[in-house]
Amino acid sequence: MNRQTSQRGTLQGQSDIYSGGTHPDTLPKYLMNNVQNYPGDITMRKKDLGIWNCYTWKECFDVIKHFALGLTSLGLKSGDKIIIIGDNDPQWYWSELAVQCMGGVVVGVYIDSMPDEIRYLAENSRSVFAIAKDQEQVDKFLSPYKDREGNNHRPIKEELPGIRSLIYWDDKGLWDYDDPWLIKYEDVTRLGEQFEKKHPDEFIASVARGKKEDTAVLCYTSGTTGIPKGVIVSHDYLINNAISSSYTRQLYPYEEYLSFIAPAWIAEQAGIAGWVVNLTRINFPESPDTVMNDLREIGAAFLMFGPPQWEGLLKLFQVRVNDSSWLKRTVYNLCIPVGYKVADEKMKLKHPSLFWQVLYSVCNLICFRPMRDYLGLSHLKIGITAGALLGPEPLRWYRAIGVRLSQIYGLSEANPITLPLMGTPVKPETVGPISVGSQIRITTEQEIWVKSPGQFTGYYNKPEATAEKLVNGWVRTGDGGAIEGEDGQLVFYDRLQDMLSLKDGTKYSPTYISNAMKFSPYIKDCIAVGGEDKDFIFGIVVIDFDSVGRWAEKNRIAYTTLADLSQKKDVYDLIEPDIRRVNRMLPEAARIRRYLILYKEFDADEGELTRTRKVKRSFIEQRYSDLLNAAYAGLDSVEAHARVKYRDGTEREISTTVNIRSVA
Amino acid sequence: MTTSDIKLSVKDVTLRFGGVNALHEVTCDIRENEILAVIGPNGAGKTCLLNCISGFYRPQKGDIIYDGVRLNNIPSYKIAQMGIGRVFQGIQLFLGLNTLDNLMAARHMHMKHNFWEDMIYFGRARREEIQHRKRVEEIIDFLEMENIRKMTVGSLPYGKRKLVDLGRALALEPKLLLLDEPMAGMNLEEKEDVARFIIDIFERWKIPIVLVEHDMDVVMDITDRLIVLDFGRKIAEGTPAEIKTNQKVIEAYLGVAEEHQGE
Repeated sequence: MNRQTSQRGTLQGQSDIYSGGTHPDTLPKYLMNNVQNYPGDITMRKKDLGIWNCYTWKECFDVIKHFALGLTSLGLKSGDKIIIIGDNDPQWYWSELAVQCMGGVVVGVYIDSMPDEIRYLAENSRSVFAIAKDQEQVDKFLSPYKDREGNNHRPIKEELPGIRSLIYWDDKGLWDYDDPWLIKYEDVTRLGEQFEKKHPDEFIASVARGKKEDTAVLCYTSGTTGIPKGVIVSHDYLINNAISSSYTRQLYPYEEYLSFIAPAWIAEQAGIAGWVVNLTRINFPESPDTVMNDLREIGAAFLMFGPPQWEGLLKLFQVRVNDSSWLKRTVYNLCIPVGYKVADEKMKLKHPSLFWQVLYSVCNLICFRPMRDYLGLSHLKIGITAGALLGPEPLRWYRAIGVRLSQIYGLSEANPITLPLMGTPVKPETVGPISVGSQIRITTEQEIWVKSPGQFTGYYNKPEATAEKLVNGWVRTGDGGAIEGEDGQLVFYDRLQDMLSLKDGTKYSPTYISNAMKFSPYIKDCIAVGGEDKDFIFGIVVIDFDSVGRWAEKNRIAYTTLADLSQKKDVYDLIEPDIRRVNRMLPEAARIRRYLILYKEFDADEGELTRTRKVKRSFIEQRYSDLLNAAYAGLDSVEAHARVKYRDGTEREISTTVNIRSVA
Repeated sequence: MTTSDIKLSVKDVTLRFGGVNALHEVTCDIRENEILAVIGPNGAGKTCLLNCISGFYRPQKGDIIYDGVRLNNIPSYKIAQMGIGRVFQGIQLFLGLNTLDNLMAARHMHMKHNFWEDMIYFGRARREEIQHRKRVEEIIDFLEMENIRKMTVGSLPYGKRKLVDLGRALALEPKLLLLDEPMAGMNLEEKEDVARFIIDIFERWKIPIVLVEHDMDVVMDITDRLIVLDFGRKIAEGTPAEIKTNQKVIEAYLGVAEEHQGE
């Protein structure tokens, strides 16, 4: 309990795994190794026409070699950039490796990008070829378009004559296109086969020329803060990333991986590196709509999804439960509280008592294991959410049914920064322990600075932006955070620019505080009140009536309504440890100093919540300004009058005494 | 235009139900390489025309000639075997079967093995099954129905069922495709998808398509030629541009004709 948060200072993970042994220094050299050592091993699967088609290293290598030589015969030179846009398909992986084999650089584009975004990336990177999946993407290059300001443009093809050809791999709907600028994927490999007959050594020579500091990929930033910048990702970066993941996740060769997140993103680039470096077996779903079905057929050992996919899987299951038979529903409803109970204990890093452990194994047997099987998660060693923070509710649910789900932290500029080590518990308020070989520094402004074996070397053609981001080898993340506990887990608050500050300038993140509070089963909502006119942070807590009510009954505490229950001393005592738990994650000056428990729940009918149950902060701060004034004035209780709107439309005034407490 | 261009020709077809003239001396041709739309107000006889072609109704007068064969007295299942595929206005699927089985059932016509071969499921029966499954999977891929492959059709939303129905018609490997309101009851996005599928079908299999549809925007967009029916009579025929400016068509749709009749 007395563990100190080192709010500032440096932290370093062990780093000997990178230097131990000699390994190839580029991804193409890894590929050559694999095809020499394991030519017949199945390394990739793609579901097509309802059948999983398998590809061995030899088969992949042949396509890659011929495609690479095909590009060469079309005029690709070392250092040239090639833009790729499409779904996760073997062709993307093959194209990327092929380009890298010839010393080229891949520029990935998100599949839903608009033509003006594609144009910007192609122009900025000076791409000489484009590779696109299908008619939808090809049309983006061939049709006139409007940019965001509404100006009309000629087709990208005409605007950027630097793009010599557009290569596509899915010809559906393109049968009648007769533009010679378009080339079919297979035609390029055929060119490569002919080229190989004339220059049989070209490919091997080109791969041998590759160096570890060569650029492998340009990963463009999302452009939420200004125009997108091309992050230079070297072979060294990707290889170190893959080594670090395989070490922490203890992956064996040919463990199943589902390729689903966008390959334009650094997280999936790590997947591509994992394919050749860690020999992960890549499985491509039939279409983006069939992922949930394909997932079960694959039985992935390692999964990386964004929060929407994890939430989607959860919702899908809850809908199915409601549609299922009475018996199944009952079993689920009996078991899931046991799962929550044990998951909550484990998240507090406590061992559940023997009674709960036994009960949990029974539930696991009759409910959770079949559930995991149904969801296709039974072989899952570790599930990771990346991109954004997953809310407390889904995270608790997955842990309850026995799925190891963790958050990781990383950026395009340096990745991965944190990775959960197999077997070590991760506190739900943190994004996990620091990855092997990385270093983290928290500045006085609470900014996270990182140094990692997988780290960018600069922004493409933007020295000023690079100088701003890269200081003495440290990457400034622009995110606020802290390091927690002896084992050094990283706490991620928010983007620095989204954090608010108090009177003395201390920054704090209302989103982080309220999310971290909600990991308690007793707390439904929590708002951290602060701002530049306030001295300290004040918490408005809304208790979960069901769970606190049940707790009260068990502890023989008599109550009538929520208003009554919420103001009991015992309930304040129940909630306070959670506030202290969250406070431990926060810097001294930005902790919740005082709090109250509200006599009601936030209600969408009264405008306190949006219909999607998002809390409207400013509205609530205004509505309860009486309470807040009293709290900041140092009072211990305040008389509250409120008009409550009932479901039938009637309004009634209630008055109650609200207690305000200081956190000990 | 030479006669060899014509896939199917309808000559002076008249269809009466008691005293009602559902079709009155309708004449039209469907050419080898076109998407032809049949439009008209409610009750104009559009579906009746398709029913005459596919053999559900027997016209009292006139001829329907398909590839040089007179269809008038040929039973509808034989007409289907001759290569006229059809998507119905109301969905005609096995609701208890999944998408895949519905499409496989449509392949029945192309299966050559007999009952006894099916019993032992060896040799030809098995070979054919695999072959047909491949064809069906290509259609599933074509219509992007992978995610509903194993779902019972009864549990699918309306728009998806329409798509399965289209897939079922394609599984017959038609040489002429009749589509009766394939987009009815769909939202804009679904309509756009189906419109794209229709064009893709036309480009990929190079088969003539007859389309009955109410959505004029779609019809004008994707068809080469239209014929317009009103109260069982053909009142116009031509390209979309011609039809748009045709006075008779405007009157039929906007109801101006009644005032003229009153004079």
